[in-house]
Amino acid sequence: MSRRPDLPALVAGLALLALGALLLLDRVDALELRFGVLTPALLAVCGAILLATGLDNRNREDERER
Amino acid sequence: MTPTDPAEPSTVASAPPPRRFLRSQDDRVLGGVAGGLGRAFGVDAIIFRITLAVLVFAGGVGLLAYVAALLIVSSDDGTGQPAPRVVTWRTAAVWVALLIGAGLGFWGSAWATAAGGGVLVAFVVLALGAALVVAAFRGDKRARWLAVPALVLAFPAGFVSAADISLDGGLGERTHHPTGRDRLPTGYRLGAGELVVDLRDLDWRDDRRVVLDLDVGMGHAVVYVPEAVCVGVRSDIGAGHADVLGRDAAGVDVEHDATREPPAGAPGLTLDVRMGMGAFEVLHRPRDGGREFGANGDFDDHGERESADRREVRRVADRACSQDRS
Repeated sequence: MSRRPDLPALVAGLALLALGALLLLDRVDALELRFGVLTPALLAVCGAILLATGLDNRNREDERER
Repeated sequence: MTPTDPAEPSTVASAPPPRRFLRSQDDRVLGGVAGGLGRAFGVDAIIFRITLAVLVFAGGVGLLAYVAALLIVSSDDGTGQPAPRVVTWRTAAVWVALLIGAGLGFWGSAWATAAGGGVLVAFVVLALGAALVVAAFRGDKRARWLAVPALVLAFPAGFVSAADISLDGGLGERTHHPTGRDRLPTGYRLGAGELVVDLRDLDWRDDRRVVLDLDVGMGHAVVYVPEAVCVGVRSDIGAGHADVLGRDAAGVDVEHDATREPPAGAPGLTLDVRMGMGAFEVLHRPRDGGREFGANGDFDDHGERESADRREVRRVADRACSQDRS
């Protein structure tokens, strides 16, 4: 039986990988990070983590009710 | 029927008791503060989570409010009643240590990125992200906490990167007062602090145009020029304010191209400004009475409070660049 991955940790991990890649590309001058890109990126990371945590909590409540 | 009539059916007595604000055990990301607020007010907790996240950037108000709620508000016991508080010195010490660690991580990440160690910070964020993904497939829910230090490091590193703040040029207050063209460098550089370049005593009789680069990581840069010099500026400011002889631009990612061609035989100055975060000014003379930058709303180009002084500065600056210089 395959185990289902922990959704919040998975989403947070992927979002942080994307954010880390963005920071690294800026530092090696492969792209120029601007506030116009950074601000939505940071908010998207926070939003994705919150959304995944909320969905996970809801799933747990549903399972408990069943 | 009077309000005190005992025959009147009471609706007050049947109303549900007000829900008490307790930190939620079931709906929690960190300490259950937003989940508890959501339940107390009968709205989705995500509203409070987003509000708190936004307030973290408002001078850290969100973080303070969250920690205060964490320390003051009791957790529920699963039945809507407060669970008995068991706060030991060890628990308090762990929280204090975590807060200090978060502060050190935040400022350390900002400093490291500005000092040229941004690649290392990026690799740490990538490593923590990869560890989270691996832990997710192993089903280890405790690893979720790794997101917190990763974000504590990533936020300041991202801010410093976007503002392009660099400490390469050193720190402190620098004042340059060149008088001869032969001693004039191609540019001035400062990591963080205040840079003053006074060009009023430079020999401007030669009609050759002066081109000067200014590179300031974070702080305040002022260039003084004579009224007769036609000034053009190309500025790229990560976050802050530029005020060039009565004309200003402010905000984040401020790219301003106000290059001007001096008339034949007239002195001209072209400034190429790169600033991470802060304020940049070009003035004819120091502000009256040592007034601070931005005081009295004087930089509002379109507001009613705009002073006659600023209009006059713009008129003089425009005259220096026009063919009719009389």
